[in-house]
Amino acid sequence: MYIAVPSVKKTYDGIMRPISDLFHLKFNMSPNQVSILGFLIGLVSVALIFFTHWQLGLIIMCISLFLDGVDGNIARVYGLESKTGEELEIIFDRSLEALLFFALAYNFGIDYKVVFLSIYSILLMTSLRDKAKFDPGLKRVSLILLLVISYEMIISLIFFTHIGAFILQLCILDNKNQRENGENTELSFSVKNLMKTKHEADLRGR
Amino acid sequence: MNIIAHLLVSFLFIKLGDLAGIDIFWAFLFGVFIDFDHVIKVPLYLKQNGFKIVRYWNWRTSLQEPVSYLWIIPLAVFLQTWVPVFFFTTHLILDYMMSYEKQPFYPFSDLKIPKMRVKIDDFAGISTVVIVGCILLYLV
Repeated sequence: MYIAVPSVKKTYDGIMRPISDLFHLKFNMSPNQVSILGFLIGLVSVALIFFTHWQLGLIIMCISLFLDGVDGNIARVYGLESKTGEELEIIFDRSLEALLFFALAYNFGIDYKVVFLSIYSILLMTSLRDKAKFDPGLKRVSLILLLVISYEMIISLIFFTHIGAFILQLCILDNKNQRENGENTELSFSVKNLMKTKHEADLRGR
Repeated sequence: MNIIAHLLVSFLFIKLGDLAGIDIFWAFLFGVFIDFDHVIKVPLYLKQNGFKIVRYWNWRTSLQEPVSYLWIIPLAVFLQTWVPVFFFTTHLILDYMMSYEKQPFYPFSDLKIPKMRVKIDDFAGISTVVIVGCILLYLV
């Protein structure tokens, strides 16, 4: 689970602390082991959805989602954060999303093209997530909406949300870039050059 | 490029492509109104320049660079229309006639196309408006 806002992250870590203690201290599990457990449970939910038990599959998916939050919490609370752990989480999350989306598309008989596009949009957003520090969430968790709206609508919602998030990331990074390299106006260039020339002339004069 | 040039070019291709319905909306959105990304830069402009008018300030964002094909092409596939891609390309071509520095693939690459030494912005803008305007008058 990716949380960019520090205050939210702190509150979230506080709430999750007892569960993290249970997994880490009682069961002696590392964050990566919890990630693997979450991924395996996620695979069970994919299998259940594929074999038409989608309601049960969604319940199991919620357990997997919950564990997805626990691993990051253990890593932060016990100072076990690592690059490998981060990469592992991204690989597991994106693979599970792809498998779940295709299993549901197979189950509900919708066009695979839309599923491909949604997965593409999520990958696109992920590519700039760490740079822009922005991730809208709304991936697997949005599948819970299946209880009220159609899968086709949910997958379209996922596509538009992540395309929108990518656009926002581009704007955030562009603004940041221009703020950091502030000398991008003709005026600042010319004034700077003028001052430089004047300074050089002064030096020569002395 | 100035908004009148973008408007006229979009009108021209809407006319030539005989577009109708929602396609006209996509044509204007990607041909002209994609320039609304400039609004994002207003706070930064005010912070850097106050209320002074600064010519050639970089108002553009990556939304008007080739990197945006990464989201416009999938969107066009989703919507099942070629219009967004085509009109975005016309917008891009007109903008690339301008003299300012461009970063076509930012934030994926820091590659920069440097500023042109000769400022042809006004000439390019006016000549585009005149030429496209004449063609449109002829067609109408």
